Amino acid sequence: MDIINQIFNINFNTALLGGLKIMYLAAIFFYIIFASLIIKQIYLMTGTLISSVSKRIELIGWINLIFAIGIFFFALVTL
Amino acid sequence: MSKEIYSKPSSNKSITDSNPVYPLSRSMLADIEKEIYKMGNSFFAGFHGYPRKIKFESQDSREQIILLLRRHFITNITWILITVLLSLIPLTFSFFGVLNLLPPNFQFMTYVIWYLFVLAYFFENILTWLYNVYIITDERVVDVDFVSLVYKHISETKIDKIEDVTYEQGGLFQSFFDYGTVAIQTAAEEREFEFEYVSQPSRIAKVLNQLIIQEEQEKIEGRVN
Repeated sequence: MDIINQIFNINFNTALLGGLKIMYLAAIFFYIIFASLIIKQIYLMTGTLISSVSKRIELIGWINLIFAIGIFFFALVTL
Repeated sequence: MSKEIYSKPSSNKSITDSNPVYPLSRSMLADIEKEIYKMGNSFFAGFHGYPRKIKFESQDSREQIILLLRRHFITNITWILITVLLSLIPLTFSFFGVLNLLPPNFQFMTYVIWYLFVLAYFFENILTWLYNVYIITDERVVDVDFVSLVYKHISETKIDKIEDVTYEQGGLFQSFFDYGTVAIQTAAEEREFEFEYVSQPSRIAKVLNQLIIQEEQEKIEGRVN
């Protein structure tokens, strides 16, 4: 009986954590889409109002996207 | 609540009569400059007089930006406080051990994902504040609005189409930080422009009024293209 309980618990935990992992990856994936939209928005904005900080803001947008992609692969590996 | 109205001069004649000598517009330009220098440049007040390194999309080569305005920085206080609160929530998670049921790697990723979305919220708001601007040039008034992620709305009117300029300041915050809303009535298709929560609205209205008079003067002198 103990063995059955242990197997059930292990499977239950694995399934729960597996589901959680998918949810986490989906959340980060949505963030990547959002970060891409942010870049699109930044280009639209910097094209409308051209200033000395435009390039820096574009760079921040790209760093944000690369960071999000990095987090996605990090989550894929560690979870 | 204080409210002032500057109206377009009723006739051109009065301007020429009172200033029969040629360089009226030059002295007016000096007045405008003086007014703007009095206001000073302030990033936090969202106020830039004669910005040198800023251009906008539809700007003509000879057109000069006189004022670049944003909402006063203090109007961002709500989303800044929300960002701070959202940033502090994970601390309460760890204090009360809410995530202790999860393995450490899942706990860590929960925090990472949480802060990613807080960052997204911060980004969206700061960009909206930075790029929703009001521009006053020597020729026109431009209102640049970014409504959602990839939608922009730009409305503009020529200075000579402006009929009335009014401004409103109400409430403790607006009086204390000296910001308010400048409303511009025009004779153009776009009937009304509103510069919402801009710094020093009385001075902005004064500058606009001076520009209207200058534009009238240019018309009289036949210097309008």
